[in-house]
Amino acid sequence: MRRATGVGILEGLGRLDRRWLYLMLFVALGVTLVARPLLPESPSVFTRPVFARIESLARGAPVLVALDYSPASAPEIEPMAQALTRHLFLQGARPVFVTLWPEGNNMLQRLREQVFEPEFPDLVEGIDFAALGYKAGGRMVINALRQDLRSMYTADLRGVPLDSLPALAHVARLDQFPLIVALSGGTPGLKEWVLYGGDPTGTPVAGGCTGIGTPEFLAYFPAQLLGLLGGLKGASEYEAALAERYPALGIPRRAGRAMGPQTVAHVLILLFLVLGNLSYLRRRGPRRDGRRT
Amino acid sequence: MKRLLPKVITSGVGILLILTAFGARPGDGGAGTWPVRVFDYVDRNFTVWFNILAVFAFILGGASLLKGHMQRVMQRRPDWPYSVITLVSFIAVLVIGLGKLGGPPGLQGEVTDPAAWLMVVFAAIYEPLMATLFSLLAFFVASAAYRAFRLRSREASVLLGAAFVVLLGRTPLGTWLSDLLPRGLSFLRIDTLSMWVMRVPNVAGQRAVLIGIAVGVAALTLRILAGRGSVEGDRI
Repeated sequence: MRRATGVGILEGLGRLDRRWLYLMLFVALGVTLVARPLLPESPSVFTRPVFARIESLARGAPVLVALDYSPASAPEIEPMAQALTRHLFLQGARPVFVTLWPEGNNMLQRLREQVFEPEFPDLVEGIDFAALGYKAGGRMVINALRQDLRSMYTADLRGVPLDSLPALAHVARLDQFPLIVALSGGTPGLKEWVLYGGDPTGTPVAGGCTGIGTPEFLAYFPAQLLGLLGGLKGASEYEAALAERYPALGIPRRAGRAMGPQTVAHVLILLFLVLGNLSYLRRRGPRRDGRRT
Repeated sequence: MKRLLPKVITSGVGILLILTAFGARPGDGGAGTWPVRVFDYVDRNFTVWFNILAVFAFILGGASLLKGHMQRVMQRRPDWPYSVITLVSFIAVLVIGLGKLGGPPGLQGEVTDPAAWLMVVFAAIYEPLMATLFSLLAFFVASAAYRAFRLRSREASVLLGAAFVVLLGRTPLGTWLSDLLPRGLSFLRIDTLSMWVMRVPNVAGQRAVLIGIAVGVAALTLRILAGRGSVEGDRI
């Protein structure tokens, strides 16, 4: 009787309306989003080189930061942009923000409101950092930057000529940056920065990308890509490393707090995988040769 | 001549750019022999010319969008009301952006200024729409995992096993579960296995694909440079 009930449940699972799955996922995500648990995290071999490189930067070193993402990928990439910018400012480096995406200027504005202004109010634009913004052309923009920064950007986003920005006083070309940080939600993005920026000039490229893009970019690690922050987990790992380095500062853990809902979603999807396949194997029954698969 | 001239220009510019990639010396300040100076000139200026052309591509793109959707509305083709929405949205955002409404005026006035209406459109409409569309993926993935990802073959079983390990290994739960393993079974740690899947089989496959594509692109480029086999060339 008990066996028959179990079989019935398995067969019933096969006919389960997908809206029940949506409801389960919605409730599970909703609860963890409200609870916002902070799970333990430690940097992986992909994240550690990026952190170490920024730690080793000299004070005043210019670092090119490419914000090539849009609101669609911002939940994954914006936390790493925040953590990396925070780290660069704490190290006394001078980030120079550019973007190959039209939405990039807006993402930079959000970064100003979320990190620059509330956490580093004493920083002066043009001296401690520079915001050059968006240029159309994708990889051709990178090619032009490789030759001459000022051939592509004559002024920053405020209209101030580049020659009067102390942050860029000793920078004329891409190879004069000790580091390129490319945060990428798609194309053009990290791949173009590696192929057209990092490889020809020998400038180290540190990357950040969505979780779904991580497997593709690992092909460039570690020879062409210094390190990679892969998805929300990469951002969470970087935040954890930063919090450990600066324990007194109370580093915000936006990605770390989002790992709870992501973990629940992953576990639920795994559960659906198992249940879906159990139901499938039950309905399919044994094959003629006696095997199920 | 109508066919030959474009092919000659394409081949000539292509060969020149390939030579430039090897011969240019950025940062030498125009020093060197005359071929190096030519390569430097090409390297410096062709990218800028491309960007000037890209600006015209924006105008062409906008004009093409307007033409296509206006025709659909005029001819009352299926789903024409969506075209009306597209046209109204396009024109409204274009006027707000080009006119720099609400923000600092003038050529250098930045449209991402917090007071600019374009920022309001971005924050109140564009951001929520993009976030909504992207977040729906979680529900589609959950449904696909339940209904489509089946153990139909040995290959599917391997794929499922890899997905299981990576999905669990990319969360702190994977590390926590692995900590429960006895020391002798540490090779079965989910986070270690997940890293292995990402670094070994995944990277091998990705690099094979990348190298294959690169060889294909090189072969296609050679055909174009030789004036044979390009789609554009055939049309010309």
